[in-house]
Amino acid sequence: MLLKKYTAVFNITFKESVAYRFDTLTSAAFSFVKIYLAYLLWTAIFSGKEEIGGYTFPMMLTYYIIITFITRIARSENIIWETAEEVRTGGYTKYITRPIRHFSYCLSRSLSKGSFSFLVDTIAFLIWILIFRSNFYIPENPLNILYFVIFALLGLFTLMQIHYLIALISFKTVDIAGPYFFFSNFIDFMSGSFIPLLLLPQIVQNVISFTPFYYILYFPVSLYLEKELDKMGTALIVIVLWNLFFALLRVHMYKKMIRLYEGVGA
Amino acid sequence: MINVEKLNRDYYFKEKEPGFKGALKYIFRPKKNVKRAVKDFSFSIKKGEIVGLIGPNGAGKTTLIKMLTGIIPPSSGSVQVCGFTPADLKDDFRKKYAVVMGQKSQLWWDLPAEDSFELNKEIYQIPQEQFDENVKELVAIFEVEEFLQKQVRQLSLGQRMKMEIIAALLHNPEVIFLDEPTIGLDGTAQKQIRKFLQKVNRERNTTIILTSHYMEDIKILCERIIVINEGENVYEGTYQDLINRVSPFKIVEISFERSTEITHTLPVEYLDRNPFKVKMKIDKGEVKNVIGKMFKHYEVEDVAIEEEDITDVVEKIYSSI
Repeated sequence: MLLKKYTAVFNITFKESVAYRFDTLTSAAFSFVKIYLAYLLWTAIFSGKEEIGGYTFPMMLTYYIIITFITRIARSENIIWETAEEVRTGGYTKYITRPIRHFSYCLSRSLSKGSFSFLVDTIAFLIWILIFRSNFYIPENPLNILYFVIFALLGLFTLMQIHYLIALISFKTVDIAGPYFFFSNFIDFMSGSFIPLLLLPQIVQNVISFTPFYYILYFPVSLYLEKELDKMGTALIVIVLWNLFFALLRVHMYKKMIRLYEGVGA
Repeated sequence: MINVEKLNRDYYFKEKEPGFKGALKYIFRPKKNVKRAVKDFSFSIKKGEIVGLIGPNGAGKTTLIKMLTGIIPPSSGSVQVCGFTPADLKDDFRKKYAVVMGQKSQLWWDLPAEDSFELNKEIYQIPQEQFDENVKELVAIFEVEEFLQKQVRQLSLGQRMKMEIIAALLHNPEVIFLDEPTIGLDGTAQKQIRKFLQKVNRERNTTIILTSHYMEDIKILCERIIVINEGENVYEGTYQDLINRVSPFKIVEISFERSTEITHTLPVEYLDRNPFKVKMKIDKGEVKNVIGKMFKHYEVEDVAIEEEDITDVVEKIYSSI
């Protein structure tokens, strides 16, 4: 019965995404810009070199294509803006007055939006692979694709929890733009969205590997590229511990923040 | 059903002074202030009652509704609704009531209203049979069948408000809180909503708590009213008693068959006077006497008796209590 509640949220969000399909389609098309820029940049950097930091050119390009794909289907960032807007205008009242958990509601919405993006972006993704087919890396062992998928899903869930925690700040500050831009850039850098973490100094890599950000994008993609396979056990422990910590922090913060809600606007 | 005792609610806010200096001060050393929006408020409501909550803007009506529904916790005092403390936000409690706030929407803007109904069916775990029955009945009462598949953002305010009420009531709540449900609606829509609320109350014995600026809503629907002013409970009783208390007069208009000069001294205040018609403000206790004299001594063609203008009464209610 409980699952049906959130399946309904998933379904209605999916219908909403269809209503906004033009938005999704155009942004999927523009993801090409990021991939093409990475192609131009790394072609220049790789000129005359076989490898950089253990990455061949096809691996580097594949890294960016997959990162772009994952960030396209990671739609939990919306939670921050939607929650902040609802707290500011009093729209958050609908979660308080109905028997529904806001976190589960957000999770269902993110899954739904992500699934819709997955459908649209898979088409775009296949086109990029076709365009760059000679430079797209395919792992020799298909099991690595499975490991990649598992860790990518764990990473997406971790990212969703982080976004939810940032969203809760809006109960205190109302305006969320400042914390959002700070955390957004911080997460992008720390998760390897800008450059592969492998290119950073070893000590920095070691430090980041204790944070959850290491496991959001960089680690899953590394598994796809058949790197860091020996660290899977440790990675699993670290990411599960972080998620447990985030879950506890989320429950604690929610209890405090909800008391600050004033339901303004009526 | 509802018990409220010595309820208080404080709002903390920062004051911003005008000008550049004020803006700087606001950033570095804002002046903190506290306002008690609801003060020592006590009342109780029985199952099946329709109670109107009235008061001027900023009196604390919405704050009170928010505390009754758990949207905000009280600063002190106690609230019990259907045996629950609202601020605990228990799911079992949230299934027992519905709240419709004129300015808030639970409908999905870009989808037809029926999608929002379906979502509420799952959220409240409404059995399919009950859901189908309720949708059919409510849609028929509000005559909105043709708009069910229209995107909510394309609906008029009246149509949207009716959909909001339908969405809120699908789970057969025991208590309904309505905050300005008829605000901005035309006369027909207002009447439909009133008629519907009476029907729900009669057939399901639903308790209804209503705030409205339209005294017509209150007059027609509410058996009992509570007046809130500056956060305090200043009156509790029937609408008629309140009217009698603040407006002891009736307005009587008498027209004559031919040109008439009134020669008797009557206990009235003339509001308008000409040879064919007089309009008088008369103490309610004297109405029978005055009209009797008129019929006895003059050739009366027609008599109209009205309450004082409702707007004037409202102003009196807020200023005199």
